Amino acid sequence: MFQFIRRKIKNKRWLNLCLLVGIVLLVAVFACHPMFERGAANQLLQTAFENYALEREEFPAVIAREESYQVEEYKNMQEIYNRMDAYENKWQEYIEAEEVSSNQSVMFSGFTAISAFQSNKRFFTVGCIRDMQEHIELVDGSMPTEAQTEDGAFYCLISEAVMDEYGLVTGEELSMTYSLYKDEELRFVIAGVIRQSSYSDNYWSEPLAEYKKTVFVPEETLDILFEHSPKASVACNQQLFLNYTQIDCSQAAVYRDYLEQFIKADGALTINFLETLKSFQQQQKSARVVLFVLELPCIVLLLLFIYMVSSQILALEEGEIAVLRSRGVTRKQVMNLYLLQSVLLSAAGIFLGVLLGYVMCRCAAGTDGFLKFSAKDVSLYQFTWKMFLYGGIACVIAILFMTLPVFGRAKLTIVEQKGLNRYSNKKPFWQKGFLDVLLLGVSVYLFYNYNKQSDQIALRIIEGASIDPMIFLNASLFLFSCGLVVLRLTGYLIAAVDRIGKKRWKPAAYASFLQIRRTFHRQGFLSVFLIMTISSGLFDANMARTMNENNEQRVLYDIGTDIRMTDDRWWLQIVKSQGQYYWSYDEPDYEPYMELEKEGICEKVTKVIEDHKVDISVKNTTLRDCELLGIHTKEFGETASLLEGLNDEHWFNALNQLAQNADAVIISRNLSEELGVSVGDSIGYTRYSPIKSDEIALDKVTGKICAVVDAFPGYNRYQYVQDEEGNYTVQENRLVVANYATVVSRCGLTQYTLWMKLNKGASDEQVTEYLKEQNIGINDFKSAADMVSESRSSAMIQITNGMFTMSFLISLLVCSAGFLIYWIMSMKNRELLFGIYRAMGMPIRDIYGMLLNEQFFGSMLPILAGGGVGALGTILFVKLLALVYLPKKHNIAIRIFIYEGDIWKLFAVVFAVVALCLFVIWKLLSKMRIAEALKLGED
Amino acid sequence: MEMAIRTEHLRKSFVLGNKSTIEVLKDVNIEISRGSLTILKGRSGSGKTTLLNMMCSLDEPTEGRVEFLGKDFGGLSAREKEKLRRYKIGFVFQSVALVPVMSAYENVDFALRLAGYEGDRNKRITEVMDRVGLRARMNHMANQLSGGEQQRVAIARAVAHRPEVIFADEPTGALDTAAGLAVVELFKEIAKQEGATIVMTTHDPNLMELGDEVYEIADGEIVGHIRNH
Repeated sequence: MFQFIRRKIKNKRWLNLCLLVGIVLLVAVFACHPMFERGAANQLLQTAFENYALEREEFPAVIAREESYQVEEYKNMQEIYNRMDAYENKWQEYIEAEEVSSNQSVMFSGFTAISAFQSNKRFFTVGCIRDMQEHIELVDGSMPTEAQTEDGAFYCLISEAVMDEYGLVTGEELSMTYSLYKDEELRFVIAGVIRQSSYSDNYWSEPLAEYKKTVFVPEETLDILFEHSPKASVACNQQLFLNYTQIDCSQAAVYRDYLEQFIKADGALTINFLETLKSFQQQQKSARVVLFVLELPCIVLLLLFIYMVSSQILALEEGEIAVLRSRGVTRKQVMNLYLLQSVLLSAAGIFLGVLLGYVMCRCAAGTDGFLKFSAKDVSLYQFTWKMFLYGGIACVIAILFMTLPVFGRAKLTIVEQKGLNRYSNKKPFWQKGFLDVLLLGVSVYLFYNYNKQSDQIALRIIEGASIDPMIFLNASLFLFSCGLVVLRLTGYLIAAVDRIGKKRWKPAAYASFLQIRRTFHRQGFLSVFLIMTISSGLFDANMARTMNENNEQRVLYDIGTDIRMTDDRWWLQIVKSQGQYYWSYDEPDYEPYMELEKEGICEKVTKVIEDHKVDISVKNTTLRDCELLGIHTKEFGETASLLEGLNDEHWFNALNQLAQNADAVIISRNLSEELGVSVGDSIGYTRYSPIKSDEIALDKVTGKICAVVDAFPGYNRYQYVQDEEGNYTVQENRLVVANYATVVSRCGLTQYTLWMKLNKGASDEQVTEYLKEQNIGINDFKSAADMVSESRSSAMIQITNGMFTMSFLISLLVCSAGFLIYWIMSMKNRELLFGIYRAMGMPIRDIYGMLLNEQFFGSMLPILAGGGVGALGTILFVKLLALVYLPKKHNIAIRIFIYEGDIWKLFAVVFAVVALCLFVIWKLLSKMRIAEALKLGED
Repeated sequence: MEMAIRTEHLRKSFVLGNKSTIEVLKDVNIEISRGSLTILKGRSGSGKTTLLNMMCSLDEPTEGRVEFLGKDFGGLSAREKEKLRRYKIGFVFQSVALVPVMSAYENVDFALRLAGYEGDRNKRITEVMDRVGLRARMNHMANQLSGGEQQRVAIARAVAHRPEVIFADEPTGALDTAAGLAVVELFKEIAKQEGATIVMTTHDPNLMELGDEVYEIADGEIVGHIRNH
C-alpha cells in the first residue's frame, strides 16, 4: 500500500507539494496561535504593570501589610520579626515571582522629646527599618556601632528632613518620655544625619524624607525598648516588591484567586496589583477574541485551498478510483488509501508547520505596523509545546478536508463514473437556494444593527467588556456572501454576453464561451477562492491601515507637538503674612531652551501655561474645571501642529486673531454652544491659587472671543470618567486659549509647560541628553515618538497588525498557488482537446484568444469582483471595526485610510501570477505537437 | 482516376533517448483515389497512424513527400496546412474526441463555424444529425451518449462541412464488433452521399471488406495491397 501511495504522490508531485504547502501553512497558523496568544497576553500584562507604574508613579507589584503588635503578647522583638517573615514566606509560597526588594519597618510611637537646646516638646516615633544601612548614606556624623553610649543614652539617626524641620544637629541629645511611662525619661543621642542612597530604590517606596517624626535606632535598641515597655504596641509595616516581569499570563487567574483569599483572610493586607490582574483578565478575553476572529478567515482560506487542491488531485485520479472499485476494491479500502495518504502528508506537514508557525509568530510579533517588520524585542513570544497540540488539531482538520471529497467519489464504478455529466448547467445548492443572497441579507442586517449600537458598543469596550466576535465575523461573512452574490451575477453576465453574441461568435469565442459557461459552477470554487482572497487581502490591508493611522493621528493630536515637558527647577515660595498666604514662583533659567534651538536640536521651543482647573463664566453661568492654555501665538503656531480639516478654517487664522488683541480668547465649540456665546462676545476666566490646599480664586480675567474652534493642538474634547460603580460616562472638556502675557500679568507667573518641535533628524534623546548635561531635571516628559511607538506596541494593535500582515501574505501565497494549479491543471486536462482543435485546423492564435477569453471571465472578473467586494467591505465595515480599537470619542473621528501601495502590491502579485500562468500556458501550447496530443488522448 | 493523396518514398524516424534511431515508416508509396474508401490495416505499432497523420498534415515526414489534392505538403506553410485541414479535411478520432463541454449539436456547429460554413448552419446540423440517426438526441451532452452514439456524432461532425477527404483513425477502436461495423457502414454511406474520400486505419479484420482499397502495413512498410471491386 505504501508503495502505491508513494507512486501516487510521485506521479502528481506538484499537486501534492501544493497540498503539503497548504497543510504546512494551516499547521503554522494553528501552531502560531498558542504562542502568539501567550506572547500577546504577556505583553498585555507587562504593559498593564508598566502603565500602573507610570500613572501612579509607584512600583506596580507590591504586597503590603500594616499591623500593630501588642508587646506583651510576644516574648521578644525577634518573635515579631519572625511573624513578619512568616507572612512574606507565605506570600512567596503562592506567588512565584522573585522578590525585587522588601522592607519592614518597626515603630514605637508616642514619644515626646525635648532637645537639649530647645524647649519645644515634639512628638516622635522611635523605630527602625530593617536593613536600612544598605540603602542610606551618611550626610553627617557616624553610624552607631553600639546601641547605647557609656552613660546609657541610645544612639539614633535622623533624616535630613527631620534635621531641617526641627533644627537638630549631630551630637544633640533628646530626652524622651514615653506616653505609657510618663515618669521615665529615655535619652537619645543623634549619632548621624542620613539620606537615602538612591532615589530609584524600591526599598524607599515611602521616601526617607516622609519619615518626618522618626528617629531611627539600631535593632538592638528596639529589643531594649521592647523589654522596657510591655504595655506598648509596635506598628509594623512591611512591603514585598515582586518581580512582575516573572508573572506569566497563565498564572494571572490563579494568583488573583490567591490574592483575593489573602485579602479576605487578612484585613491588614493591601495588594496594589490585584486590580491590574483583574483588568488584565478582561483585556485578555478581548485579545483572545480578536486573535481568534482574525485568524479564522485565514484558516477558512487555507481549508478552501486544501479542499481545492485535493479535489483537483481526485479529479485526476477518479478514473483510477473507479477502476479500483470495478476490480473489487471496497469503498472503505479506497477511503483508507486516501486517509493514509493524507496522514502521511500531514505527518510531514506538522513538523515543518510548527517550525514555520514559530517563525511566523516571531515575525508577526515583530511587526510595527501593517507589512512593516521591525527588529524589536519579541522575547515574550516563546515556543510552547501546545504548538504541537494545535498543529495536531490542524492536521486532523486537514485530513478531514482531504478525505471527505473521496467519500462521494469512492462509491462510483467505472461505468457510473463515465456516465457522470460534469458539464451540465446544474446550479450548486447555494445558488438554487439563494443561500448567498440570504447570507448577504443576514450580514447587512447585522451590520445595520451593530452600526446603530456603535456608541453603546464603544462604551462597553471602554468599560472592559470583552469584544463581541460577531462584529468581526460579520465582516468576513459579508465578504464571503457578497463574493458569492457577485459570482452569481458574473454567471448571469457571462450567459448574457454569450446569448447576445452566440450566433455571430467565431469558433474560438464559441468554444471558449461554452467552456466558461459549462465549467462555471465547477470553476466556481476557484472564483470564490479568488474573490475571497482578493477581497479579504484588500480589507485586511485597509483595516490595518485605518486602525494604525487613526491611532497615530489621535496620539499625535493629543500631544500636539513633538515634546511636552516641565522643568523641575521651579520653586514655589509661600509666605504667610497677617494670616494670609502669599505665593510666588521662581522661574528657572530659560536660556538652555533657547540653546536647544541654537544647537539645532529643536526647531522651536515655546512656553505654554496649561491649567485644567479654570472657571469660565458668562453673566450668572459658571462652568468649572475648564482648560486654559496661555500661549505666545507666533511661537505656538511654529511649534504645535494640527491635522488639517478639523476646523472650518485653518487654525492659524484663530492664532492671528488672538495675536491682534491682548485680551482676546479662542474658545472651543462646546463652550460656545453651552454658554451661547460667539465671536465678539466676552467671557470671564478665573484661575485658582497654586497652593494645593487653597481654593482661592485669583483675579477674574475678561476676554473677548476672537475665534471658536473644534480642534486645537493638545485639546481633546472628550473625556471618559468612571463613576463609583465602574461605569464610564463621556464628559466634555472645554477650552479657552489666551495670550501668555495676559495670563501672566493678570494671574501671576505660574509653572509653564515647554512645547518643543524637533528639527528634522533630531531625536528625543538629544533633548534629554542636552538637558542632563545642563543639570536640568525633567518632569512630565511626553514625547510624540514614544507615544506612537508605545501605542503601536499595545497588545491589541500588535495582534491585529501581526495577524493582518500574516493573513495578507498567506492570502497572496495561496491565491497565487491556487490560481496556478487550477489553470495549469485545466490546461493539462485539455491537452487532447487542444490537439483536436489544432487538428481540425484551428490556428494557434485562436486557441490563445480562447484561453485569454477564459482567463478574462474565469479569473480577471473574479479578481476585479474581489477588488470591488473588498472596497465595499472597507467602506461598510472598517469604521465599525476600528471602533473596537479606538472606542473613545475624539476630536478626530475615525476615517478610512487606504494605501495605494497595498492595492498595487496585491494586484501586482495577482497580475504577475496571471502573467506567469499565461506564460506557462503559452509554453505548454507552443510545445504541443498535435499528433502527440491526440496520441495522449488515445492513451 | 483522379488522385486525392499520393505519398512518395515516405519515411519517418524518431531518435530515441539512447540516441538510437527507430524507423516508423520506411519508403511508403501509396496512392488514394478520389471518392474511395481506403483502409490502412496493421497491428498496433505498425505505423498506420503515423502514416495517416502525415497524409493529413498533422505530422511531418523525415523524408519523402505527400501530395494532397494536387498540392505538395512540403511546399505549404503551417497556415496553409491549417486551412486545408479546416476546409478540406474531416476527422474522426479513435478516442471519439467530442468536445466534452458541448452538446452533440454544438460539436457539429463548432466544426461548421471552424470551416466557415456559409449556409444555414442549423439546417445542415439537423440534416447530418438526421443522417446519423441522432436527431432526437442532438441536444445531449457528449458523455450522456453511448460510445456508438458518440462516434456517430463524431462522423456527423467530420462530414458536416462537406470536406473532400475524411481521415478516421481507428474509428471503431472503442466499439464492439457489431457497433463498429454499423458505424463504418454508416460512415461509408454518408461519405458516398457527400462525395468524400475516406482514409481509415483499423486493425479489425472484419472491416476489410468494406474498403475499396486496403493497404496492409507491417513494421512501417506496405506489405500488401488489395483492391475490392
